[in-house]
Amino acid sequence: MAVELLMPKMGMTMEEGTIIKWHKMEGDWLKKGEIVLEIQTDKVKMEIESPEEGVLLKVLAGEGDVVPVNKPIAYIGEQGEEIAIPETSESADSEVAVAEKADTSPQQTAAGSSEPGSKIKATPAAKRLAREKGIDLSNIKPGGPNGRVIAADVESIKATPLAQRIAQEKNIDLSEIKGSGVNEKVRSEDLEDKADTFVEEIKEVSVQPLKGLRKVVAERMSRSWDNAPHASINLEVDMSEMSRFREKVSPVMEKKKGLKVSYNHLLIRVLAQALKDHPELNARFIDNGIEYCDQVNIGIAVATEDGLIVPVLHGAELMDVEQIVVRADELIKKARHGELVLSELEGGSFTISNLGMYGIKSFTPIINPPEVGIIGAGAIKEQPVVENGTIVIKSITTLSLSFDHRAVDGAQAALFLSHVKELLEEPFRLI
Amino acid sequence: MEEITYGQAVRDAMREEMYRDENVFLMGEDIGVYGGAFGITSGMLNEFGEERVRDTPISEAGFVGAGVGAAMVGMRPIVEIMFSDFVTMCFDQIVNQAAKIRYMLGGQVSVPLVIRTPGGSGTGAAAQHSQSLEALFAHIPGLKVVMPANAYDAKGLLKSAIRDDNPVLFFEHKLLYKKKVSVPKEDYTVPFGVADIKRSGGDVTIAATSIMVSRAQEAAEKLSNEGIECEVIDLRTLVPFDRETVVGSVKKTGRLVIVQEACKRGGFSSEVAAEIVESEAFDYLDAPIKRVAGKNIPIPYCIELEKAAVPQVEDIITDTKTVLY
Amino acid sequence: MKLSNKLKINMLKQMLLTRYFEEAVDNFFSRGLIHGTAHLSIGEEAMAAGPINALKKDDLMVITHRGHGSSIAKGADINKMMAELMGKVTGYNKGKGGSIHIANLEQGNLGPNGIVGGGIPIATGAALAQKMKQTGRVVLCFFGDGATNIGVFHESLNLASIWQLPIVYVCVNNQYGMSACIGDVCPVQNLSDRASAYDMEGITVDGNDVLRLYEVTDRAIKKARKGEGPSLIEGITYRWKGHSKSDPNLYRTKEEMEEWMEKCPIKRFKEYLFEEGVLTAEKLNDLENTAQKEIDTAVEFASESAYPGLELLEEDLYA
Repeated sequence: MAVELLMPKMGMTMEEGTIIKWHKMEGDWLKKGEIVLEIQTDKVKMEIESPEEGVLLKVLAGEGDVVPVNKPIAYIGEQGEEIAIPETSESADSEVAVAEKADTSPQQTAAGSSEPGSKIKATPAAKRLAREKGIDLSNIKPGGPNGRVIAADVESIKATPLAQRIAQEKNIDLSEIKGSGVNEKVRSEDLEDKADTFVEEIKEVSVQPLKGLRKVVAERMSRSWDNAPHASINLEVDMSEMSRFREKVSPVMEKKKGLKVSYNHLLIRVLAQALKDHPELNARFIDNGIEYCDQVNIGIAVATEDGLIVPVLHGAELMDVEQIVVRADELIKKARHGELVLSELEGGSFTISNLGMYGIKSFTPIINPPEVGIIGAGAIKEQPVVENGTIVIKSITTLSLSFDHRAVDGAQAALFLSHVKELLEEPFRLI
Repeated sequence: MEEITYGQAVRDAMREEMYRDENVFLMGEDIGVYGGAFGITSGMLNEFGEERVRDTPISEAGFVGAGVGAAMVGMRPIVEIMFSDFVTMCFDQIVNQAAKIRYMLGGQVSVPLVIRTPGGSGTGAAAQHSQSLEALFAHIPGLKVVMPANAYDAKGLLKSAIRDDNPVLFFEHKLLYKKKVSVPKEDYTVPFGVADIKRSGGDVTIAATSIMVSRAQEAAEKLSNEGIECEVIDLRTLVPFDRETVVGSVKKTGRLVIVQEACKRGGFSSEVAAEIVESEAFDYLDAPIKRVAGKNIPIPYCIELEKAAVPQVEDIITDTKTVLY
Repeated sequence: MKLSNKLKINMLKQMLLTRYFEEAVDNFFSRGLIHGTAHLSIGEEAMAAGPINALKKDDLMVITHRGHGSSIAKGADINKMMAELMGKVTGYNKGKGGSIHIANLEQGNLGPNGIVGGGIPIATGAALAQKMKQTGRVVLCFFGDGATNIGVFHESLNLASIWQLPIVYVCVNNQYGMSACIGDVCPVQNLSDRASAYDMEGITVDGNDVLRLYEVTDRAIKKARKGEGPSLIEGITYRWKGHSKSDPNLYRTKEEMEEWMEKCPIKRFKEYLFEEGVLTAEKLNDLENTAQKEIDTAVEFASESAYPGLELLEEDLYA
């Protein structure tokens, strides 16, 4: 009896997963526990093991496909077993698409002697160029003898992939169209009068669908903005003392641990203390109630190649600077290499986002739900400041605090932020 | 530098090597007083004496075999086979003895033997004196096969052959003996396994051997007037074969034409074509590989038929055009 | 001529070694322990021991495919011979030649040839080299009766004669090619008569008389060494076993084989040595045991040796 391999529900909030990579192909023998594929959840990449020993009989979804949790993605069983795969709407669509293609191909062949449905004749050079340019050989009119597509034919294709598709489906000879793009490249617009309404329908297709991490971030940001009434307050902080402190402490840390101390590390230390003193900011808004966290778990916003990831530094209130430096760096490294485990992404009570390294002065951060507050830190800039009637140069940074007004009032937020400023300007208060 | 003929180049190579190494000596029919059927050894008997320039009876098997034996015990014989067609008389000594002795004996001995012989047609010598048989020997492991196309390469390659510790088949061409080229006076060698790009071009690669190299060059000149730039490669040595140079050229031009005088069927150009198809150059071919070769017939006697039996300049031009589109 | 007893005993030992070696090889083949085939020289031992002992240590020789005895007489390492037969990497040819290519260049053994007569021009060329370099060395060239019909035999003897090369040609006439009786393929009665076609001295002797063979070869070698040219020696002998291992001996009669086995060269030599008082029963026993032990050791050595690895497949092709 064939067994279904389902898209697993990993984590409470997971609703769907994206298939990143199949490690096995249809027909492969699977050992129990062997890795079959890799998926992307809303938080992490995961490897899925085979639940059984058997042959991978059928694969139902491909790389890049998004599948809802608990839906089958493959079947495992004995060699030659029959599987009844439930009819889905997708298969019906693909049948239609195939029929369309069969209709257009006979007319598509050129002056050469290739018959309907026969193999495309192309020189090895033409095939290579087509591969490199991402051009479908069946779109090209063969210019060589015996109906052969030659390199020159491929090279002469100066059309966007969209234009090529339209041309293929509407049976338009691209070489007859004057291109309006760079180097006379044919764009879909150039085919408008020939292709009319079809262009609008197709335009949708050129939009890149949301998937993977991008999709997750999009959803979360949307939810956050929709649900939590954001209010934002800003404060300028004199970082001179903290600067001096950092200068002294970083070499010591480097010598001891081989790690540098960044402003972010110090900000985390400061926040940890401030949040202990202002528990109303160290909270999560859950199911119309507020959960005040007994630990300070600070989320650190990290920009990775795949998108925004927020690993959580648990128990910051109990850590000294050294521990924070070690753990924060570890989390950031893991985030960048896609090595975070689920627990490292959950349980945050507050988030810090630092765009200072990009020179940003200030910005309005969006709360990381279900937390109630987030601090955005900007760049530290030397600015003239009036002190005791004279102008002095100070290192100033702007902190922005966004908070969920359902859980936190303006006054509470202001007090909290002032306290953070105080700790930053007078680090001796950190004892 | 000096301008010398191909024949002179061959002679000078032998002379210089005989001075350089006392183990080098010559055997062949009529190479002594007569100076060789094509005059290549002319004057050498006087210069080196009859111990080192040995006229032999008409016994190819005997004296080529003797060459093998002498080579096994420390000599470096250069054996002349009067017409390359006569290699059939000593095929066993070359194929079963010279080529295999080192391998069969587990490396106990080497056979530094050079067999030099003129091949090719165009002198009205008819079927049994006009063949190009290099492919037979390119097929035998243990042998090296060399085909110089001009005096410079002939001298340098023959020296390399004499200094090589392996049995070498050195195919000269009767029609090239009188062709002159500038050649350095100092000692120089041309290495085996290195093809020579005789003319650069980006539109099509023409690989050729022996007399077909100059015909290909002539064809290239003419095609250049039509705006077609050919890259002419002289293969020089068939074994070892310089795959890299040909692959690099085909990747550049995308088209390959191979020219040989020998009959097309089973000729060395087939080997070159297969090597290219098996190489990374395959993905750069924009046209089928074209072999321009002798017809699959014995060489006829009368002039016009004799010419028609093998590729002429016009044939190379016509055939090259079939891959240019 | 006066030969030392030491030499005579040594000859006997070589012949015994050859006999036991061939018997061991025969045995292995019957049991399917050796790849390919082997050409056994049982019955022809005198044709190796006789002529080869007349050579000096640094003289050269080319032998036939039926040449185990020749290699042994020239002083080959029996272990390496047996190993080569078994295709082992410790063999003379690293296992890449087998029985018919066992050569030992260090001892001047240029090896046998798989082509009938193939070694004749090679030996001739080697002799040419000795003359040109004036080394004073002589080359002994063995071949069978069948080889006297092939082209290179004639071409080589011709060359040797016109150039007066220091070579002695020894024809091992065992009266059969593979299955062809010599009388059917050769118009001349004595193969040594063919020497006269090349203005060369030829002589036919009893090929099972080891001392007689020694005598005539010695004379020919001395002549060649003096620069007085080549000779052709024919020895009439008989091979007891088939041409190769796949030979069912259908072309000769049992009576004929038995008749010749009576004329066994080893038996004759032993009888002679006993008569001359050179050999005693005890000494013989000693010799036989020693020889057998050497063979046994060789077999053990060969059996325990490794085959050549794949990395040797393309080695030793080009120098």
